[in-house]
Amino acid sequence: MIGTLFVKECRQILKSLVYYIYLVIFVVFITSQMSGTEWIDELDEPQPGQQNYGYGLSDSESVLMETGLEKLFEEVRGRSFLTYPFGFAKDVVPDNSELEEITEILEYCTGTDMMGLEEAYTAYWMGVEGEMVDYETYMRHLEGWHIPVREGLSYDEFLAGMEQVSQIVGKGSMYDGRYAHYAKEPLSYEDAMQSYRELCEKDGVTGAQMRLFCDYAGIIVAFLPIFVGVASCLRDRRAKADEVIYSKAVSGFTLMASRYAANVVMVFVPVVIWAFLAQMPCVYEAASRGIAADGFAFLKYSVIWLLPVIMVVLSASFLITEATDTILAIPILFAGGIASLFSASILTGDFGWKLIARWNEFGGYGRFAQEAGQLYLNRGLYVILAAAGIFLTVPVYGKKREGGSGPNGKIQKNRG
Amino acid sequence: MEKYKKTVGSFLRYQYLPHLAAAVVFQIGAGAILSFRNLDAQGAAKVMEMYACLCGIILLIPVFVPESDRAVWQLEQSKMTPMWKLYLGRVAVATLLVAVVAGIFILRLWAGGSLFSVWVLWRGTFSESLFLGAIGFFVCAVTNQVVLGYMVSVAYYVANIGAADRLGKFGLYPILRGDTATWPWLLGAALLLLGAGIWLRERKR
Amino acid sequence: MAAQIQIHNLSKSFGKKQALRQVDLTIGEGMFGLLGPNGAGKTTFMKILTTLLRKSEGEVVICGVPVERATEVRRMTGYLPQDFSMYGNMSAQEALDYLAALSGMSRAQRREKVPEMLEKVNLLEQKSTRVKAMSGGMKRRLGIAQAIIHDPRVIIVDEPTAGLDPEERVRFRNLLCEIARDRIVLLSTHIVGDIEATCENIAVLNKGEVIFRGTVGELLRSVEGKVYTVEVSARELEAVKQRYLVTGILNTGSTANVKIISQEPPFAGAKLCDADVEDAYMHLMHGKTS
Repeated sequence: MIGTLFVKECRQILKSLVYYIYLVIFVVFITSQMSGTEWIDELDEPQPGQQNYGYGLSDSESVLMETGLEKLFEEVRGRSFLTYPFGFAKDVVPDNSELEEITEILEYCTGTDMMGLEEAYTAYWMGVEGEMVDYETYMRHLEGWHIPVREGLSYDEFLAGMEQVSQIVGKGSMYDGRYAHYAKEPLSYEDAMQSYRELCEKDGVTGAQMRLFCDYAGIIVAFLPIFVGVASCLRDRRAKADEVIYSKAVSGFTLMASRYAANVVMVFVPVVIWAFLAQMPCVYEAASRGIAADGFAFLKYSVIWLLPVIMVVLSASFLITEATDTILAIPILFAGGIASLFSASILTGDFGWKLIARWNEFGGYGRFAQEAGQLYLNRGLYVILAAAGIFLTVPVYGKKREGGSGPNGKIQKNRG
Repeated sequence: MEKYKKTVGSFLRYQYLPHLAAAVVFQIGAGAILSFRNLDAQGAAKVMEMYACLCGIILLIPVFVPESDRAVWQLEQSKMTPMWKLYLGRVAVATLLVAVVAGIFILRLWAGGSLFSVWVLWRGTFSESLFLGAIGFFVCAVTNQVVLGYMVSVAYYVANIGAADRLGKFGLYPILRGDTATWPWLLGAALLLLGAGIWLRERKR
Repeated sequence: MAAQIQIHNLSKSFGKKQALRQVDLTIGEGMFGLLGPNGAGKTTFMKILTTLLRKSEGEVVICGVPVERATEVRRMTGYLPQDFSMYGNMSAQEALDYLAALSGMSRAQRREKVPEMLEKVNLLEQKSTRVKAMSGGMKRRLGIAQAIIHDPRVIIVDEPTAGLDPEERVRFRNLLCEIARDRIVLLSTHIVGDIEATCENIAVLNKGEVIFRGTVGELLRSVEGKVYTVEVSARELEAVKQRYLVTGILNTGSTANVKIISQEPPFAGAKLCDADVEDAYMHLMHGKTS
């Protein structure tokens, strides 16, 4: 019976306006984000003697200290510190005594007082003012400014300073290690070649494209399936068909499982199709350069990265909607999605337990490989949560069916 | 006049209450996730344009909830009083509430010692909230599906997070992006969507 | 096992409100009518039998299965609720097929039975009509089709003819009688004519209690020799209505031909007439006699 009902539920979803709006928004959003072609340049093999090989993350102590202190200087100037205490982005504005303490740490680590730092910063920008012709030049100059680091400052002293700032500002600040994600240094030819080889041999080129795809698609599928799920659950009541369906012999598990599975499949299939289409240009470009692309990257990444998000969002919307017979799932899950979106302090990696996993970069296989383990754990957790959600929905539906006491017990009773 | 007071009062009491409660929770809950203290103009704009503006979705879209049951809708249509007058009354109340919620957020920022232009930020946020809510209102008016209304408004909000620049005068978070002059466009578009929604809905008889 | 519903000491309350009070009934094969005014508890009673509401007290056993075993009970019952509807965008055929699938029928069974049912309820030509485009009568016929398609032993129909025109009502009643062979059809209604035309056995519910159980004949006998017709002037009509239980008035200009239920002849010149089920019902409900 599950098979039959699954097919019927899929057909019903195909008649739903909410579903078609989901398709349109998904396609428009992804197409607008993935329409760039800058990634094509990444497929060209680096040549020796190039002027610039791009930038990569550094683990050099001197680069880390410079980055940490630059971030500190920026936030002291702005008198505001961005933190993520519970995963939500929150601006913390310290009071005068706290700010003074933080400034002292900065001055100790740089060997220059705040005024001196400000003057140096201003002088640098005034020096390059005439060259500010476009955004790219601006970004280049932004990376060109380097904060002085006190001579003789040891890495341990620096770490102690960062720890102190972290304690003053609070949990989830830049100074509990997050600054390391911003520590970049110019790549050498050897570094660039290694990145290139990883892109071609380990990533199969399309892996890089698919991570970028999942970055954008992950945002959309954290929100839109909420509405598909809510509409699906409220359909019976809206059509005044709920009573006659309740009276049928089909078990609550069969009905919920088939409905849920249909929703997951119908939401996921367009995602996979679009991933495949997004991969095509990459496959073509790789082939034209004699690089063997990974033709299955679209499936691997869609299933591992995006499917768990779809599953857990639909599961939660089913549970809340069946329990309340209202659209309450919309604001609750929207808030959850926004919290996850704004909790990303960086746009590549740092997956943690976030629902929306970001990787807004073409490439970076080496770093991704290091963090992939956490991503798998993260996605595994969401699959478990999704299953738990649906298993909880079944008894909730069953209670409604028998008019028992529950959150809607009163309404059910009055219907008698 | 009395009958309009009665119909709007009935709407507030029997259908709108959960949404009002949601707006209250939204207002109170802001303190847990946002800081209102000592913010500069940019920080204040972020609070208003990225968070407070969502009150438009919460307060405007439920205007058509009483008529989501077609049988009820048809019964009301059969009465002497034209429906557009009822809708207008509800929209007026919802708009007033959006203005109040935006005002309370402004007060909280001001009380937190933040520095910003009160009038510029209030009018910008009010226009943006109304616009965001009016998008969903229009969709709901035309399709009679509240879920669709929320969906389109939310999708517009999320899409603007990365692509506001591409939407010109109708991009969200304008003050955050340094533009304080787009509020008349947003307000105008909001009023157009509200009016068009009511007009199209009445035409669906 | 012969189809039988046994109800013993059934009670249901919603907070302080007692919707059913110690109901005792045994319902056998054939058409069984459940009569009563609005708010008597008929729908609550129906919903308990179809497992859509839990009883507060008592026992309900349907064909040997206690009502607590909901899945088994649902497998052998077919239910047509008072305000039956289905997804508006489904055609009659799709809706019936969907509900049949929910009733546990296999694809092969549905392929055979769906057209058969549509024909039985005279919807075969409208099989592609969308539910939202159907008239009330058509929807009701679709409703009965989905209630019987899986060949249940018990069919429960809640006010099935409310809102139907006379022709539709007759057609519906005939259909119910046809399907009542070898199974229980429990029909709840406040339209006395439906009971009269189709049911042998009935129960009357009022304020949650069974105030009559027996055959239609027995109900009629309770009012035998108590139904009179008399002609009164228009001026006297109001006083007559106040004093006696009036079950029919036919105005003929300055006079009115009135049907009264009374133990004794109410007036000189009052003529005894044949009672119908409506008279018996009114006598039962009001018990007001001279």
